[in-house]
Amino acid sequence: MNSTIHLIGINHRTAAVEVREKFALTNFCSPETWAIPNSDGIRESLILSTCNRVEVLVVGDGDEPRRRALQCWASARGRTVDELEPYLYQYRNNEAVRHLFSVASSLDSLVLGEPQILGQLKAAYTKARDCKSTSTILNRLLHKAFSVAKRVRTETGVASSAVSISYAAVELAKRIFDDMGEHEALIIGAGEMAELAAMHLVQAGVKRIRVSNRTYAKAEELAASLGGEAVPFDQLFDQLVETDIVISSTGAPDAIIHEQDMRDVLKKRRNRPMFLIDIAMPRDIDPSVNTLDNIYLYDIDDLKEVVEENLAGRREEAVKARAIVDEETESFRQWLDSLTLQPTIVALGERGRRIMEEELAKTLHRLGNVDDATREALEVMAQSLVKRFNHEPIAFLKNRFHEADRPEATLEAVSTVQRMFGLK
Amino acid sequence: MEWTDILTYLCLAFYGLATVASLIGLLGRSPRAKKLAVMFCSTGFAAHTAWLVASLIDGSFSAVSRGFYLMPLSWVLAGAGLFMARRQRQDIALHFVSPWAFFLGSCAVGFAETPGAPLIAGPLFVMHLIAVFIGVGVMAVAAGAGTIFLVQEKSIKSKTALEGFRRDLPSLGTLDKVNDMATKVGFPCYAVGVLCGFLWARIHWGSFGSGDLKVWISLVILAIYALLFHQRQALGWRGRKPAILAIVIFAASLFSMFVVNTAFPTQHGF
Repeated sequence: MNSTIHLIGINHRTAAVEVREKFALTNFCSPETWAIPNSDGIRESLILSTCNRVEVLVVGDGDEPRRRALQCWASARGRTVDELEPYLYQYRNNEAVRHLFSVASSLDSLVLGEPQILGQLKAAYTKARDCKSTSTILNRLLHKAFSVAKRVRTETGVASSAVSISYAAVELAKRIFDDMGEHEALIIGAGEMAELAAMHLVQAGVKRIRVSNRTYAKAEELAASLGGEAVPFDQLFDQLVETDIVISSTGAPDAIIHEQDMRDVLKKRRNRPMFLIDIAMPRDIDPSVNTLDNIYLYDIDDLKEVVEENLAGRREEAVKARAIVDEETESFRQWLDSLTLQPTIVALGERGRRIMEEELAKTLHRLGNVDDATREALEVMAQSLVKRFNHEPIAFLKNRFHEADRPEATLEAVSTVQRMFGLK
Repeated sequence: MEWTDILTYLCLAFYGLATVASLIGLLGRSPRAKKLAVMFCSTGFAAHTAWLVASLIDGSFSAVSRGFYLMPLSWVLAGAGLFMARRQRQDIALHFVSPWAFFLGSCAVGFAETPGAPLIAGPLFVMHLIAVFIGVGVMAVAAGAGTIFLVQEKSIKSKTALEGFRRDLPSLGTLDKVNDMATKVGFPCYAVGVLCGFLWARIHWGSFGSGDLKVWISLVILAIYALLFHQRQALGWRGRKPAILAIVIFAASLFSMFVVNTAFPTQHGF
């Protein structure tokens, strides 16, 4: 068996969203609609279709599976291969494996290190298995991809820091407060960004979340979606006394919270620290508030800078991650090459077993009535002889595989053993 | 070599190993090295405790020397670190008590032959020592936490990125809790310790004060301690100011212990 792995795909770098949606295979991944049938040279297949990428992995002999997969993909979306080809990237064998490992480790993602893709790949694999479209090679490859992704996440910092503004705000809050479950948050205004940051805060486990907005109904609406409570806007400063984390994003033309206001608030709350996140434009909180002890004020530009620094950090870590991907790609290649030995080793074993059974039957026939213990002893001896006779050729094959720098040397050894023992 | 000496060297060796492992763990961001540091420090503390018990049993405390009193102090310090680490579920307290426990223990060995004041037994004297040592020991932990607090807080306040091992350090809230706990435990102990000293002096020397520089420094430390305690409990001070005061108290204690004891005439010759 000399299988070739092909990976063909389009992603956010090679195709605009209009193109990606034309060729998306999201609806072609169920057993009823599987777009890449295992026929015409395709032995195994997998479809990964997300908002940022559509990729098809196929395994078979030579180049035919790739051509067939392209036709199936294009026709599933009512298009031609010529329409698809300008946006395609196509990899085979090692390059395909390396690309898949990079995708699983989120090194090929729009946002470097974002964790979503691994879940999507796992879901794609589950669907492929449900459709019975994967076998030895893709099963092994996908499991390996998941373990590579895990290794990259644990051994490098490629996914360790926040790269979205709302998440960066929550990460900062964790650097200030010891236990998020002991702290309360207040959302001032009902902007989209504030809502996103508030959702991250809820996920981080804040004790209580309140929403204050000039239009009370809007505050109630957002509070309901966050599982919090709405509070009247005119009680803002009373609420601040009880609040540790504030996210402000009103549409007010001028600052609504000033240094003196916060001095009073701090006094009332006995200097308990506060983290103020001002994502409004123009800003809601006077920057001089940051000069007060125990108050930490971040505006949208500060958070953008944090995100930029974190992204730069991730890019540095990606170098280490790529080295891991290369190492694992090489290890997978060795496993794949070892598959070329398997049929010969299996045939050798079967030949030995066949000869053993024939000769054992003849001997037992000649001996006439033999007791069970003798029969068992003869069987054990015959099995041992076969094992020992097969040991040398199998060791020869394995040694050639491990010692050879060239795959041709392994194939040569396989051919020699096949000719010597009359194997097919 | 006495077997108490073996325990002394054993605990010093473990504190030394804990210090190295802490440095590797913190700077190299290695969780395994940090775990090792905790293990070494705990084992060192166990050996230290065994030493303390053995010394009490065989009456080694009668052999007064300047260095001898540093051993119980480093024991209190390591104990305070272990206690706080357990309460806070954060190993950071241990990572900065190990070097101090090693340093003070080494000084104790170094000063072992330096004669100190003759032993004056009695509950007041023992209480004076234990209470003052607890007061200084917990402030050593608070000073370590305070130093980290000031460095981390400056970065967060000035919005500069926390890089390398600083990303793994505890939150400002955790570090401030160390200070809070140390103040609540340390101030009453230190105050009781100083009071016992005065009472002892009144009983044995006939007057509360002797004009000893060390006594004046202890009073200054007590005043700063009182300020810290009052401001925290009554006015709700948190964060930077308590961190600075903890560092000042511990620095003054070190000055009193190493500079005054060695460079000035003092009745506290240990």
